Amino acid sequence: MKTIRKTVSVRPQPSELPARRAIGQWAFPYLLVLPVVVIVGVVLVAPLIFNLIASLMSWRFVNIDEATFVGLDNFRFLLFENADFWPSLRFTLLFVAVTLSLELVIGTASAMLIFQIGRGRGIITGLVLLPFMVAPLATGLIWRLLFAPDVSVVNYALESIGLSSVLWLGQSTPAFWAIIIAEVWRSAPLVTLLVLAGLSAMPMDVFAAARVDGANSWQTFHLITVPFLRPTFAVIIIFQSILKLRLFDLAWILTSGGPGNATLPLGILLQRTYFRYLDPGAAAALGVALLLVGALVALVVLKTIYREVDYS
Amino acid sequence: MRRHRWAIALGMAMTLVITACAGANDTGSPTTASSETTAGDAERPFEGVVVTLLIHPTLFAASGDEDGVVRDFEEATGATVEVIKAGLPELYDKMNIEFAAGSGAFDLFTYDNGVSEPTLWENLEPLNDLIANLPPEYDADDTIATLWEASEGPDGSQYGVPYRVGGYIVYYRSDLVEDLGYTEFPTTFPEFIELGRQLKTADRSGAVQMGTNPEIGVDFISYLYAFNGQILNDDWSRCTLTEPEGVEAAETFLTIFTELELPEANAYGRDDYIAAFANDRAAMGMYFSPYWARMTNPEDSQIGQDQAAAALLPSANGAPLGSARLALWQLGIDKNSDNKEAAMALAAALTNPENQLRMAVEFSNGPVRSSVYESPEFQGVFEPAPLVLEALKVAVMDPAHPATSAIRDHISTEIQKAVTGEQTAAEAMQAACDRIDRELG
Repeated sequence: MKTIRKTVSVRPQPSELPARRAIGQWAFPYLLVLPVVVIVGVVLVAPLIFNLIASLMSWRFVNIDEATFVGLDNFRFLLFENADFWPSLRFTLLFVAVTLSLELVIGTASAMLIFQIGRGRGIITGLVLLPFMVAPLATGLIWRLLFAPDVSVVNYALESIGLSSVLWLGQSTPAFWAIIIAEVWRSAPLVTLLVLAGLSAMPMDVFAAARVDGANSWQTFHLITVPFLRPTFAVIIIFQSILKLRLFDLAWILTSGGPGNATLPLGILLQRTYFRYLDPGAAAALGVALLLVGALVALVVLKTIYREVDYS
Repeated sequence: MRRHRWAIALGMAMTLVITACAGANDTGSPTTASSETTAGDAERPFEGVVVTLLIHPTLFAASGDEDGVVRDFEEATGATVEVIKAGLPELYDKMNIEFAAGSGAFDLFTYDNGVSEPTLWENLEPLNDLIANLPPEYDADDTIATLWEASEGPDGSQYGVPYRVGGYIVYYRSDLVEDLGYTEFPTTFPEFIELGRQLKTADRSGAVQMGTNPEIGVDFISYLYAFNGQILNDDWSRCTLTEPEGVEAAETFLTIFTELELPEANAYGRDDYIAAFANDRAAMGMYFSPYWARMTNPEDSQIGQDQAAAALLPSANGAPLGSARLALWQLGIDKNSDNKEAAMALAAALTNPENQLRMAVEFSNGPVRSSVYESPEFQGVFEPAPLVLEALKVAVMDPAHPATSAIRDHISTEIQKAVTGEQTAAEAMQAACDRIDRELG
């Protein structure tokens, strides 16, 4: 019998190596990611910690060396003395809820329509995505022109079909809807894209089986499509909520938070508190409040909406 | 082992790149400023010096923009002026960030008397010695005296050089007013409101004011002063908007929005209400005086200079006719600047008699010198010049309280709520005072 010898090179396990080489081999991957970790730590974690500390301190903007520890005073001021905090929080949460609801409906409907298209789906998807590619500031400027007093194109269109014009930016309720419309116009395409991706990943044999069982379109949609898209919806809600909680640019351009404080988002209130009122402690406390609200939204969504579906 | 060497090399390269990026200049300034004032020759004393000027775009335009006074200064002195333009409120954001950092990145700033003055006093260079060293032809006494006073700190030091000022006066359609039979413009507010009612048509507001935040508050404060009211009492311990003068001013101001303006005018920003007059959508309004050129420029306006006229803002309760808010732009030097002499020279160039006249006549700047208002050249292009000078002499400064910006915001917010019908004028003043008293502590 012929014996075949084959030399196999086996990488020595760390435990088989001399101690110094074992440590080096273990540490090497960590060394490679260390620069990125340092950058993330400096850019993300350190400012977060600074913000938490700043929310417990009080000083005038340019006199940080005179900062004093005030405990929860800044939070007490926000909750019980700041005349703008609760209206601003109310507007911000309402803004998130309304825009998200509209975007989910519009985005899902348009995704379902696009999904039916065979040839040309890519081009249609690209065109639908165009509003999302416009910078938020540019979106605000465009819609400010469309809603502008005296020269509103939107009012011209309304009047041409027999409806009366609207004081878009001069009254509280129309101003609220002006911001909603601009935001939905900009963000619904993203929802369309994400839902479309979710639809593309669905197993088609489930739909075939449903057709065989006699399910109609509505039954198919709410018993198969929606449950399957729950993880997609959950991701959309979480990420879009976090983005919308930080609303600043659209409201800044369109209404500056007015009339009064009717459309004042927490982002503008934070900016004013920091740069105009020169109160970094209160601004930091607002930042913490935003963080907590965002975390709460994410937690609620994960507990209630996010659910994996397995059709295998 | 060979793969490990590549990985090590890649990791080291990444580290070097990231370190290099972190060490790069992040101020966004495209040029590197020399931080030393070199001794140039007598004719070009600041050769090689880079002076950074942080300025509002409108103010830079009022100096002639890229081909104006700043470039002439560069040619004359050898200095390079790095112009950083920022509108409001970004101008203050940049300014305050540099103050907090103590960087001295901006040598010379423009700021208006809307900034929290104590912040400035702590961070700007006292200019008394620098002003004293200016040549005699600078003639500091020619600058309107109240403007120098407005630039003083509590220690009596001069912290700003007046650069641009405007009075708040009424611009109105003289042709329409004459058609109604008026030979003189009203000097009381009831007459003013009545005129506005008569001027209002389906397509034209009888009178307009800015409606956005914080502009609406700024405009209201002028009306407050016209009614002899004040925002705070003398020792700044409480808000006085709820006193009769304040409530009266608020009621009159609201009447403009509710009875004299077309509905959509409630949302007018600054450019909207200027355009409204220029496009025959408004018959009159209280305006910042330098806007005259924009409203009567034949290239931009439907209204010719022969159709427009100016008048002092009416007054009440013993306030001098024309009393309104003082809106002054000043030039200040950062105490951390390494180029103070060059910065002062630039400030002097922008405010000397010759350039102030040139800027007023050619670039529609609001001059700070009496001689300019009295000059035939300026009066030839700006007919309301004598009226503006009168208004400036009775103009009122906002209180230089650290919370001034917040106070103006609170007034704007509550006035806007009254404009939209959510509360009455008296309730707006009370709500504003509630907010302001909290700021006062």
